[in-house]
Amino acid sequence: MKALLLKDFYTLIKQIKIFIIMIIIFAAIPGYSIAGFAMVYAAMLPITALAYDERSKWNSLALMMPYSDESMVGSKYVLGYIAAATVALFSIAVQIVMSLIKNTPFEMEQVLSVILIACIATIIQAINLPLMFKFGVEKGRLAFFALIVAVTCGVMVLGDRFLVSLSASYVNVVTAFVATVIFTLVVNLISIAISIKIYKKRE
Amino acid sequence: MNAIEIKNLSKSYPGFELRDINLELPAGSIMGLVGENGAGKTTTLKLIMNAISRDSGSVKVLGVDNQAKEFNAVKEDIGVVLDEAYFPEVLTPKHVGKVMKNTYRNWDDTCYYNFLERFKLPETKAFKDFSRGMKMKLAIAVAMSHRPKLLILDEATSGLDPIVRDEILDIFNDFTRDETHSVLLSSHIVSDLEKICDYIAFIHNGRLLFCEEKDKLLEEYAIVRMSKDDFEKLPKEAVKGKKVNKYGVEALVLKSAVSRMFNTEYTTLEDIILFLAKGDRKQ
Repeated sequence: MKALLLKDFYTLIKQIKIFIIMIIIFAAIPGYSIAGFAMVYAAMLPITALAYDERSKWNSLALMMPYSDESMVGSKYVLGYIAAATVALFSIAVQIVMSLIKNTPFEMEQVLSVILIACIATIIQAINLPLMFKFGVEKGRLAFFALIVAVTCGVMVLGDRFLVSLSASYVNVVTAFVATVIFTLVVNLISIAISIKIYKKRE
Repeated sequence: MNAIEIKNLSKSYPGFELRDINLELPAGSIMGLVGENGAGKTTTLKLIMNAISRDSGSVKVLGVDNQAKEFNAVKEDIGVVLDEAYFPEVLTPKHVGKVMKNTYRNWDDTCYYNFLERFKLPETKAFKDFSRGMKMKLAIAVAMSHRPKLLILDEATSGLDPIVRDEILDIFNDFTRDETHSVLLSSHIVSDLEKICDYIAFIHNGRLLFCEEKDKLLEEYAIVRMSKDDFEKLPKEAVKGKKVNKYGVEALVLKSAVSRMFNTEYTTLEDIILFLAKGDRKQ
């Protein structure tokens, strides 16, 4: 697993540099939609890595090496989680610094919001990766854009109402938060299981 | 012990079928897998590594069934070089080394860097800027640097110049000095195989036509050149392939089935393969 992550890291090193600059800028701009954008970019890193793999036909060599199917699939998920976690930590750190500079109180709600966005990003990845393993990056990408449009529309329609009802009572926030985290975990575990199944059936 | 044991291996794709392959590679020896493009060499190698799943038959590598769970551990002892290097092209040899260090438990950094130096490969140049020869050398350096017991090489020497090929064949030859080390290499450069192989397996249209010791093959078969009239006197079962032109007949024959009265000539591996693959030819 470590070897595969290392390979992706070296492959993506240019993208990662741009990514880090992006999240520093985005994290500094107040508002969650932009942090959300950085998260989506983070969730796309595994797909870029897969595209590089496909282009160099890395898989035909990897199959000859002692990598398990689980680590071939799992490493791509982990790459996405690391990227999403990095954005989340950066956003939170920047928000803490900002509230110190502005001398405004730092609210726990901000942390929760960032984690919620991270959950959404990993859910997008969880829906996305099985498509990529099944159809390859070229065709999978089309599915990805369709998905992004659907999610954006969904968030625009439902998101505001959701947030309004969330801020209505504190208990609601906690319940909704816990529910979202559990939902995210379940979706990801199912997604990983499906991807491994798809990968094992390859020819 | 056999490094590779294949029994009744079959695999079919639409438009192509590999059927009933039986093959044994004794430890300590080098086997060459010959056959034209599309004959089924790469499919066989992929089936040996279980990179594609077989339809029927059995494959044992270094004593372990390749569909068993333990086979992943066996892969630690197998060095594979494919017809191309297939590393992501933005990587440098240094990156490849670090990735492989985390891939193979027996990875030997010193050995790897020695190979890089020996092959004159720049450590920090992106792999996409390499020539084909350099790419193959990098792949060979990787395959040799985790102390493998078995090397599987798919067209590893094709596209390389004769001097580099010779150098690489020497490396493979040295490798089998250890009796527990074996090599299976596919190639359509028959002269390379003739140079280093102990055994030759010949795949034609998805079937294994023979798998024999090279020296035995060269002893078994001979070439005859004669007039058409004389040719008629040869026993039919002795003739394995013939080339007819207006001057006479050139044929591959089984030495044992031909009477000493006929003049036979030594044959080469290339002749044997050409005659067997093409059967009867008229010119």
